[in-house]
Amino acid sequence: MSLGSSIYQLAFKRNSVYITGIITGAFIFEKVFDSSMDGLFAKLNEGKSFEDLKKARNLQ
Amino acid sequence: MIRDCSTKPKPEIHSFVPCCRFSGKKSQFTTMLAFRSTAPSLARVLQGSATSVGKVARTPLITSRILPDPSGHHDGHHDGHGAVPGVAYREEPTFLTARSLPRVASANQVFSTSMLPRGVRYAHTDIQVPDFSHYRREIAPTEAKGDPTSRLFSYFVVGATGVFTASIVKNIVVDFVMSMSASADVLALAKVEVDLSAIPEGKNVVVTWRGKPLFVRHRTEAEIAEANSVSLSELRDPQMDAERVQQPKWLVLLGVCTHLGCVPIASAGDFGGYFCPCHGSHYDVSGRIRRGPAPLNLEVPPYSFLEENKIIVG
Repeated sequence: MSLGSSIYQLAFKRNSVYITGIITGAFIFEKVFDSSMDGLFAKLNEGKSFEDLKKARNLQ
Repeated sequence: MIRDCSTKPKPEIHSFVPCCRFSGKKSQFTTMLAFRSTAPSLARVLQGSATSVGKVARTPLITSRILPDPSGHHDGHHDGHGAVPGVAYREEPTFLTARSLPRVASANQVFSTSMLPRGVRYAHTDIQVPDFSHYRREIAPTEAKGDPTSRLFSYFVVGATGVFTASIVKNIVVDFVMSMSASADVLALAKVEVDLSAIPEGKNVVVTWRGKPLFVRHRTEAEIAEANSVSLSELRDPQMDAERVQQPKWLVLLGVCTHLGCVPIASAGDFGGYFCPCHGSHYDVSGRIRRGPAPLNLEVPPYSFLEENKIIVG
């Protein structure tokens, strides 16, 4: 499986690259996770937030 | 007390008495064995020899047990348990070692027929290990360095765990560090500076101060004149305009309706001032209540002029 071995050579072989990748991945993961969870929360509570109410009643 | 070899008496015992250290010579062993094999029954003898006179240190090498004479002299009322007075006995070894095996084996009448000394087998070279090749894991075919692909999976799992852990640790650290930022009581007494040069005439600027909206209005001459021209008898909450402003050009008010706390809209309402949309309170250009349910004028916060064009509120 040369894809696996190429991933290994690229990302896992040198520890400096590995750790840098992990930290970068942590930032990316946090951003993606937070935004997706906020979106999920908004979807589950559709029409209850103040922004939704403003839109619905055309206020302010 | 070990028996002295030089004064060797000859008691009538049926077993061989080793009074010297074993030098490991073969002849001694075989001689001992010959004697042991001729002893009729050692059971009674062994019972009598089991106790020791006092606490003796364990020695791994010497077997110097002296067995008393069982024939006729054994009436069970010697010192201790059939022990010959004046003779020291060593305790039976409580664990089996390579060195204690001869002693224990000799007590239990293990006889060897070979000429070699008895010993404990150290290396189990005759054990046959079954063939497990049917169950062995197939090592995947590898490249030049010879490495199975499972390390990729392992490193990936470790990396993913590292990502989650790093984000969790980052959140924890940020929480702890942010706990050292300004607390609520500090923020409650905060002051705010407003730069007045950025506000054009007639315009109302809203600034956050202690969590509430603050209105700063650059009043025109017409508005000032209008504010001054109102007679106090018309007002629900009579206040002169001069009482409410330090410099007539600048009107600084707290944007909280005195009725129930909504935020009034600037430059709205029938009196050219503020209008609260919640219950329809009209304020004039000086922030005084003119119509509507509100009881009091809009509050004037404490402020002072730092320079010509800067005020500090609070």
